Amino acid sequence: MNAEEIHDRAAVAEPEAQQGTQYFELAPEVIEVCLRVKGASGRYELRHRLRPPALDDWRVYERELRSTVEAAEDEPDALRFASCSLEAAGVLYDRLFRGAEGYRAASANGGISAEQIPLHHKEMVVRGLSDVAPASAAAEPGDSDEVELFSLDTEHVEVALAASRNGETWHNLVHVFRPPSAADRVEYSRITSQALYVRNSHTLKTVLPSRLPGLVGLYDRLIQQVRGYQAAGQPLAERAAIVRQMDPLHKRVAVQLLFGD
Amino acid sequence: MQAVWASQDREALRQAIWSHLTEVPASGRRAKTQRLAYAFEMWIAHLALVEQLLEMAPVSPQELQAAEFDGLLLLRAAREQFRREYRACGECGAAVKGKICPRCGAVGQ
Repeated sequence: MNAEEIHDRAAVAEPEAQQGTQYFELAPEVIEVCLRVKGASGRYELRHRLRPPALDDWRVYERELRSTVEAAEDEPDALRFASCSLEAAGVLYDRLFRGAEGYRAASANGGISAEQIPLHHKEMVVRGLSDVAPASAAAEPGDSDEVELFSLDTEHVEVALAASRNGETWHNLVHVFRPPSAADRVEYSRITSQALYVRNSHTLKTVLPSRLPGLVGLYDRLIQQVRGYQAAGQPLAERAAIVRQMDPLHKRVAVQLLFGD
Repeated sequence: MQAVWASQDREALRQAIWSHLTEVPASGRRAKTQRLAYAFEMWIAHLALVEQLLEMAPVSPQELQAAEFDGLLLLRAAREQFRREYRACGECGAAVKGKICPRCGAVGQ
């Protein structure tokens, strides 16, 4: 089967009419991800319903990735990065699974179970859950003439992200931080530089730990405001609500952008 | 095989810092045969950044971890040893311990 499209849809606990496109919803009851795939016997529309992932879910996912770096045996100066992304996606999917439609199985009494879903479908669904990146003006169609105001505010630093959901993209998800101190810079470097090495490994194997908890902690210390987000239909205004509700992956990308990575 | 934090293994870190300082560029005649584990490359880069920041900006000692203090001491000790034992090649600037530059082959004093 060839994957054609991934669409995820947030089913918010709000009336349908209020599911506007202005804000990115952070507290949906269920996230629906739709895979449109083409196979030998036709086209399929496969709908997956998941609960929204929390920090613990992403921690488990990153642990299951078992990311490593080794010297390539055929080219000693080259590094080979590896991770078990398929297996990790399978574990995360199974934790979040609420239901799936579009599949047919003889043994499906009362519905499809997570164990019946092909692993590569799970991987595509998980990829659809983690679609967030630094906003790029060039990537925003039709807005090339739009100009931003140059900030003279030295009390805050802003970074902008873009995220996709339900086939829709939000291009200006803004995170406003207090300016990081030298100690914050050291903390960021510490989080992103810690790794384990495998003693007596002839390929000089390094095991990369999960950076997510550390980066989320740093985000929570520095964040002041956000724009473009809502939780259960209400725009996020208070710092405490941002810390509590913000998607951990958005926190990670925002704090990486803040420190120039 | 046992996995160990690169920042916590003092002796391995000391060796890694020394290798990092004395490694010969790959284009040299004696191109290095074994590179450092990536875990050490990252931690040494972190130590170098902390060292630079300490020179420029006030960072309270309480903000640094014991592993960072140890690493900075190892880095300084290795640099001192390096200055005593090596000189810069007059032709290409590479670090030379004996008379012959391992990178360009120039014969020095």
